[in-house]
Amino acid sequence: MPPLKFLLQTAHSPVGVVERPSPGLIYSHTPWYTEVALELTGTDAIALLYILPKDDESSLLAACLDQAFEPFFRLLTGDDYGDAVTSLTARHWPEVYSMLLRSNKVPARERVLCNVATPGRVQWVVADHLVAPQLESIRHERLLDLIGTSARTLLRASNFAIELPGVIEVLGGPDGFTRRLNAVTGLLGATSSIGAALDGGVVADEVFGLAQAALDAVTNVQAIREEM
Amino acid sequence: MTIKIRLSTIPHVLADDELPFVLGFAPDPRTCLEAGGGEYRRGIDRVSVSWKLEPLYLRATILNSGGSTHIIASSGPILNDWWPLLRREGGNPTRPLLSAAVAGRPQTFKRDDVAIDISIVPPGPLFESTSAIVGIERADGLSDDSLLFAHAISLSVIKAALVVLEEYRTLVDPAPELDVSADGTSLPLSVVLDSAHAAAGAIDWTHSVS
Repeated sequence: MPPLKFLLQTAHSPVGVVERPSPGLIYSHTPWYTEVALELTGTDAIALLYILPKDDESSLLAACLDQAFEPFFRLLTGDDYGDAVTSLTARHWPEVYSMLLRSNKVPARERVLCNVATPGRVQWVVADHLVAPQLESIRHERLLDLIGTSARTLLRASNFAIELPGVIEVLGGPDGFTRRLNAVTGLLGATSSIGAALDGGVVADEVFGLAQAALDAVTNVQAIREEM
Repeated sequence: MTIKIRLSTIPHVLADDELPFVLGFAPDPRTCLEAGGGEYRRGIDRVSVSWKLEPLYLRATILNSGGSTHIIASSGPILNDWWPLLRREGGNPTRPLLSAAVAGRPQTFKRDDVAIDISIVPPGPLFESTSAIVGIERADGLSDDSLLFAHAISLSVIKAALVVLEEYRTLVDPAPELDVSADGTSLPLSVVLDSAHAAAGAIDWTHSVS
């Protein structure tokens, strides 16, 4: 199974057996997974999701964040400050906290934030569980909802120093924060790993702009639907 | 110059079920009969032919099974998991050979005035891998005559197996960064597919889409 591509792209080349069920939506079937490409109207972004077979009766509908969540996850599991960062996460980002918590449950039935092993790497995904009959007709709203959650999680985890209130104090003030941040990001090169997962020659700096545009587009569509 | 390929002079060095991948990446150290540019080795019910195309080796097998004689070139197991998807797709103009295989239609390969109908068959009870096959009519088992006929047309079957690999690339382009095992070594998938493309281009049999 090839590695999963990052959630947001600016170009897309379908692979495998290609199906176009509606304008702007492409399913690429392979023996390993089905890649779902959805053009996000009003943006330069194409969102890629994956239907990963789990067992005979269920699959995961997954959005790949590659290693972008890993530095923040390392802070969550740090020896002397992990509990405090986790506590802040639970209080301010209950969605992220719940997804992480659910990923430990077997069988998990709700949206999870977990990692999957692909050749040569471990990739973070935000994923919904699908039962077999749902595979044939995954609702557009469900795709958008997963894209929204994933883009929001990416933006939060990549910019947690600003987005997560109190985290700098918990990590020991500006000096301790910088030291610990350097330790985790230096180990991973997280931003460059995102760049490696991109398909369309996008530089890593563009990713966060794409994520914000994707999140805005999804939020707008959801708001319009709620008004109707 | 007359080419002579006598079964009795071909060294018996093949394993009982040996059916090599169409592309070889290393010389076969086992003894062989060299005839007309091909290397011949035999087993109980089969004879292999290997053509040298530096740095590659192009390989086919002449197999006697149940009184029928076939020439087979194996495209390897790389497509095995794709067949359910290919059948669901039905056909695709970018994959004419695989589309014909799904429809059960042989495809014609030509050189000069010679035309050969070759079938692409998915893995099944007979073969573990996707294979290009042509039957030799009125063959009397592994006779000297059938070997001589196979000598003349085996490159058409080899070309078909290589074109299948080219069409596989339309499914996975760009090729994922995976290694595949071949001839006891491990090679990047992209190298194998590039080699298949280069080798197919070097064989002067042509496929006319039907």
